[in-house]
Amino acid sequence: MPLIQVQSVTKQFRRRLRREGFRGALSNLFLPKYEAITAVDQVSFAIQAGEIVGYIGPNGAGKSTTIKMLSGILVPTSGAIEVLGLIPSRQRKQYARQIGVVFGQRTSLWWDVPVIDSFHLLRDIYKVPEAQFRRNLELFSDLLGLGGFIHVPVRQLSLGQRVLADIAAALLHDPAILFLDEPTIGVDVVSKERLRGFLREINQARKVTILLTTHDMNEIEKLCSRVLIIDHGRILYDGNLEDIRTRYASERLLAIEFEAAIPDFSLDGALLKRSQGRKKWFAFNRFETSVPSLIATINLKYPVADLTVTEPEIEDVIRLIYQDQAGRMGPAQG
Amino acid sequence: MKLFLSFTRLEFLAASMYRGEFWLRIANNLVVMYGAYWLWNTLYDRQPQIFTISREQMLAYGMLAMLMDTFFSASNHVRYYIMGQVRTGAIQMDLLRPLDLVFHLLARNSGQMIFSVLTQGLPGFLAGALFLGLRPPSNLQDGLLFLLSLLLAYLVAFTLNFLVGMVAVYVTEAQRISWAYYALLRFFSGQAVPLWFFPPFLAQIAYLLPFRCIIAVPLSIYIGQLSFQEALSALGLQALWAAALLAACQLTWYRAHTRLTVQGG
Repeated sequence: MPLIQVQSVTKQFRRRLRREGFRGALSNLFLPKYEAITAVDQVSFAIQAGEIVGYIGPNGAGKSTTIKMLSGILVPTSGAIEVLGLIPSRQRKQYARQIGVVFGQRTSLWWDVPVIDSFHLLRDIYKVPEAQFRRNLELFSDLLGLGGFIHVPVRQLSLGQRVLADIAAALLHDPAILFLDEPTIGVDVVSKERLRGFLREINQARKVTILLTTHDMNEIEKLCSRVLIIDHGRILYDGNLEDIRTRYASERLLAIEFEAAIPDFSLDGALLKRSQGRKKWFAFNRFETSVPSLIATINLKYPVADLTVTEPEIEDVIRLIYQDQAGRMGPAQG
Repeated sequence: MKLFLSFTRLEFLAASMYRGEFWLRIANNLVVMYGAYWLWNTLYDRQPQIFTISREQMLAYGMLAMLMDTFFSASNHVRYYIMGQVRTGAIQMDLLRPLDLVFHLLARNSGQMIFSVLTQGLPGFLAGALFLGLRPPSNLQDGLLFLLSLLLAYLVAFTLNFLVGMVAVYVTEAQRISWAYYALLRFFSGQAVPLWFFPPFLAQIAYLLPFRCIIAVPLSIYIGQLSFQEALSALGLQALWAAALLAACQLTWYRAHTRLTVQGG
């Protein structure tokens, strides 16, 4: 039985329509009209214990809404969510003890007092035994470098420091699952690396299951064994990162350096993209054209000095998926 | 209980971070207490016969009503907090906690209240006693009943603030309702003018509303206006209001919570 089970979950919001002009304002007052907005549309997935799953999608795709439903602060309009054998929105208090949630844009810490004081309160809220609290505090200070600012009031922290403190705060009670909604906002490169190391560590050593949303593909590549891609409230892809390349990015780029500058020429099964000095770039579909035969053909015509075949960056592939999804793909079967 | 104290401690710490505000409020207390002193003294000089109580009693009522208004304003934090959290959507952070919101906010606010009593109420009281002839209650019994009454008064103030704050869940612009609440409170609590000066129909309204539990009831006990029996039934009334309002808070929150989790705040 998976740890997190989401079954055809839909979330609709009602938004009041604001009509323009004087008559519009009047009818807004007396006859408000509403439109239904579907933020999450028939989403299903399952996550096993111990996974690190990246949840990505463009702005407004439905990521945060999903995270909020999973953490029990929003009720799905239809469908079923079961996490740790509980229904998050129904058994809110019991459930809240077993999960950690971080919204990168918000803080759960007390604004006016030093970080450590908030930690002490959280210890009492979650009834964390003193020994466990000390052990966690030590570990987090170590791995996240909290030591430098744990005695500083939260309002004086930089955004990145605050996020790190919030992540530590969410883990003080040893939750089984950690939900992170854009945890790397404002975090510098060094701290990001540190945060990644930290998340890997708690995932491996403590078997904490992690679901995170981010716009940073680098992060997904380094951290996640699996990604879910969502847009317009629908899951477009569910699988590992490498498969995205094979599935959606069939184009490869062949860069050739010739021994001398030569005029442009055309090739069967490849398209000349760019030409500069002695170098030329050809794009080809890797399923239709084989690299050895392509090279052989070219080598017959002109002497080749050097060549490379590049796969598209994962970021470009994701961009393709976002831009393209309406037409070509439709929902994936995962 | 441990958790309650932990909250109290943290809010106490947070409140003590602002030193400038501390001195400003002390100065403010002295000014408004002096204003009340001067006003009631002058009125008493002109027409002593309209007062059914002694000059000392009237002065104590007038000055303490001013002082209570300042240190009781700590209970307003509840209202502002809820309204702010709902407006910014940060109320969702509170929903993530394994806590009941009413308990959560009561624990939070108690810390602010204790801080306010210690840093505003006590210094103001001492200054009044030293410079403005503010007398302590005439006997120990009244003093103790007053303290009990003050505690119940706080519970009533807390619950009313909670309920007014909850309006923000339903109305986008709750600020005006918040002001209206404050105006009603000042008038019907007997803070600006003691209730026994009200014309009969207004007195009748004030009698039916919970606001008098916040200022008029504890101060009547303080100045010894009520007999022991009357004081006990006044405390009973406060307790009833506090219990009824706490129940209303739970009910309102239950419904507001459903709305927030369905509508997304």
